[in-house]
Amino acid sequence: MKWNKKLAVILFSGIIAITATACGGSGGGADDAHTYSVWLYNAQDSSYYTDYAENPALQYLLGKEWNGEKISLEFLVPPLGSQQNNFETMMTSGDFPTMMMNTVADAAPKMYESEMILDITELVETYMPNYSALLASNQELRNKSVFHIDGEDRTLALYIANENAPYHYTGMVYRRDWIAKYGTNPVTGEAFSGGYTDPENVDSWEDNVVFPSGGTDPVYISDWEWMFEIFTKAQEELGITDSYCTSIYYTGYDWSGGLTGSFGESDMVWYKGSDGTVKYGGDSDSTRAYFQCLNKWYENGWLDPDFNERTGDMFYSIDATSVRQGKVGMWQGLESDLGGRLDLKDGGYTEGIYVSACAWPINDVYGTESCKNVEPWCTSASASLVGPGFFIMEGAEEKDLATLLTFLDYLYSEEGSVIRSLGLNTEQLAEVDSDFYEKYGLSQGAYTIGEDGRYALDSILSSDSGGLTVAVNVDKLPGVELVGSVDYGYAPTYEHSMDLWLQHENQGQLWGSDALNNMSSEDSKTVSDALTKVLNYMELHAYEFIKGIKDIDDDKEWNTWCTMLGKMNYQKIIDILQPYVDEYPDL
Amino acid sequence: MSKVKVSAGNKSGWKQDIHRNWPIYAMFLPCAIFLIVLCYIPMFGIVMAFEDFEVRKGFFGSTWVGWKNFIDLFSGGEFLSALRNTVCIALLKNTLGFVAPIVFAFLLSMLRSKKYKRTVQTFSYLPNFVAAVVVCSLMVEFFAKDGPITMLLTKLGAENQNWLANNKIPVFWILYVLMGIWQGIGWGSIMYVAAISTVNGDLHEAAAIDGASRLQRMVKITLPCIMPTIIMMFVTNIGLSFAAGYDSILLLYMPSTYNVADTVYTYTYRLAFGSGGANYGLSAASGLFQSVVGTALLLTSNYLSKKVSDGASLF
Repeated sequence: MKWNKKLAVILFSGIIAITATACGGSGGGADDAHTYSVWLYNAQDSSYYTDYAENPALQYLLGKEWNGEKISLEFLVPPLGSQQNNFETMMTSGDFPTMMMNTVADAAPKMYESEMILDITELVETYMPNYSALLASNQELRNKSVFHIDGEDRTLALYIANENAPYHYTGMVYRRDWIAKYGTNPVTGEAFSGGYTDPENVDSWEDNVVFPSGGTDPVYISDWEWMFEIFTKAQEELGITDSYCTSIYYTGYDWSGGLTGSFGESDMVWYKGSDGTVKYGGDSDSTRAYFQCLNKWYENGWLDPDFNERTGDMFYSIDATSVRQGKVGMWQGLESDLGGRLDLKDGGYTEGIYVSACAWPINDVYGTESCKNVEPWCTSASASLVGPGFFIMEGAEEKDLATLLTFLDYLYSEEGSVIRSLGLNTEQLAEVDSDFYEKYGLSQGAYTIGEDGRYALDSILSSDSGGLTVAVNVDKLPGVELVGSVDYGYAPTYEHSMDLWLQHENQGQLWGSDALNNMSSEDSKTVSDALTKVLNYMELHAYEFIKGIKDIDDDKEWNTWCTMLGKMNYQKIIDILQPYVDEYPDL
Repeated sequence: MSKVKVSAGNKSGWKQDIHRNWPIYAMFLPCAIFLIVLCYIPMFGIVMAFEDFEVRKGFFGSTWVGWKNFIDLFSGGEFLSALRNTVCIALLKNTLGFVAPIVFAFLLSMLRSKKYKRTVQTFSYLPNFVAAVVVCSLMVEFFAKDGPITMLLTKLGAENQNWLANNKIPVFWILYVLMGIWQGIGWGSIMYVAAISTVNGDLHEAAAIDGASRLQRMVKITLPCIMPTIIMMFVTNIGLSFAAGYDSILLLYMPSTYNVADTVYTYTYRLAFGSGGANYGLSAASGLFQSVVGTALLLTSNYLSKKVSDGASLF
């Protein structure tokens, strides 16, 4: 055989061998009945460790036997921003993990009907006594986990259950130090005063700020506009020429609750009214009032002129550069923005910053009377005691699910929920072969038990902006999230800020509600198709009203908007949603 | 004069050919398997375009909806502007974008210093290996209100603005095509540089003796010699122009520029994978529409090039 023929044979054999190997399925580890793959929407800050399996508290838990077996968890975490694509790919390929977080998944009944997730009713009843007890005592948890399908109650999901208090991670915040420094009392006209009582404590702020509505926190749209005037003055005096008072999401609205919910009992899409009926608000007076308000803010220079160009920014982190430079007066921020945490101490615009939270405002300026003085109706701030859920995926029946669920049930127990929510204590730390806690100054464990019997976080964690806390605990897995029994060491000003974010509970926003979660797959598809079309149209034209490209006060322009939305047959969606809302009225 | 009978399709002929050249056939086999498995078998998925496709029901269980997905696609409010943008961007890509690598290859071929030529070539290839996300991020930065290119244009008298947010025709189209040229000019010139290097040097020498300038030699000798390559590339580009490369638009556009930046590809993406669940039927219908148009363009351009250029064509 000539050399070129030999080469051809070798190359061909090599390619066939590689192809055969690649088609041979996953490696031997995946066949292990006690190795489970877990898909997470997001994980810890990668600066602490890159694989969630390196989590020291998880290592402690996996060092033990469950149901007489050792188990292993492998985590699949898609890159930030690609979660939805990753989920879609998974669903189409049928290459499912054992368990997945449901953050971007379809509703449980649809997933079950699509034969993507398992009915785990019997397993939960047999191996999860703690979760079963919670299901019996917590109706909200039951509504999210158990579904009536084909005449039977089927447990389809495991949800994180917040112990006894709601939690919200984001909301509107503003520079209160600017109000104190540049504002004057709306009644007496005297200058405000304020400052830190302890320069080392970022939460030790005190001032005598009073808003036009009479309180110490902004309540109405008029309070916000009063603030905007002060922000403008502050920016002028500081020589900030390239900024604005506040920004909004690039679409011009947040349809799932936000400022749009402040203009009467309405929302931008379908919502539940106070009489229990489903309504559509895209063409309502409230939506028009919202646009009128935003248009005025834009015309006055209060609104970010480039808001519609910031397509890459998340709704809670718009124009982060300007915010971090201290140039913006109000924005939707995170817990880690509160107090003096943004002070760069470099003599720049963040010098002496104090960031306070505020609730969504009540409209008292724009639109018809029905749009005014109504508590924000549709908000994203949910008082829900239930966090994200997890599905056990189709194909996982080949694994030893009894053992997996026994392990997960431990995280719903009193002892397990402490490890899950807080991390390890000193004794548990001694059993783990990891220097992670020591490396970050937590050699005495993540918490101690205070005199009042509450768990007190180590001071390193209570002053942490979130990254280390998540790296130390195991709160990415299902279980009970301790809230009320933990002393997080928050200052009263800090706790007050978070209370403001939850001040107006959601009363009408349907997305994520039990009603929508219980829709049949067919109805769910019809609704999501209609939502896509409606949002596609609104996204295209909402900014035009805000920027004045179209005159919101011109009835002809407004009627065109309403007519176009009307063509999308929203009444059909109302008819579909109503029976579900009737059956599951609690949002 | 007796005619020789050629029997290319003779059974014994291809058998003999396989017997004689089996190593070549063996090497081609993985390619054939690749094409069959990854290109031809998936074509069955076209059926999704006529179904309300659901993953759990599969191809055979999903509801047959006939032309509904196409009607949804074509009757959408923004379809016409998306189609117009697609056509205009394709035209610009096949004119400006197509000519640029050819000109670049000519310029390279005229360089006398081999070292300098290789250095330029290497640097020109680099953008091709930069991920689309990075290229788009650079575009966003460069053309932002305070971006370096914007500042330069402002100095030259243009209005200070975020150029990517400009929704006037044809700003976005030109920026997008220029981005493609910057990224692909070096890589796209490889074929032409190779073709130019095969041109017989004697022709140039004879023309030079006859007093032809370098430009004249380029136009009268080099260009005709590489015309078959140019036509082949052109026909290929025409076929792909309707479908390829629009993913980066998703990274560059915004609602206020949908009227000039939205293409059939991005429009379908928003409709099929927007805020609701995935609509595979609609996306398959759009894909099929683009493939059919692409194939029609390919066949037409191939036919025309055969007519115009005396037989030079892709097939």
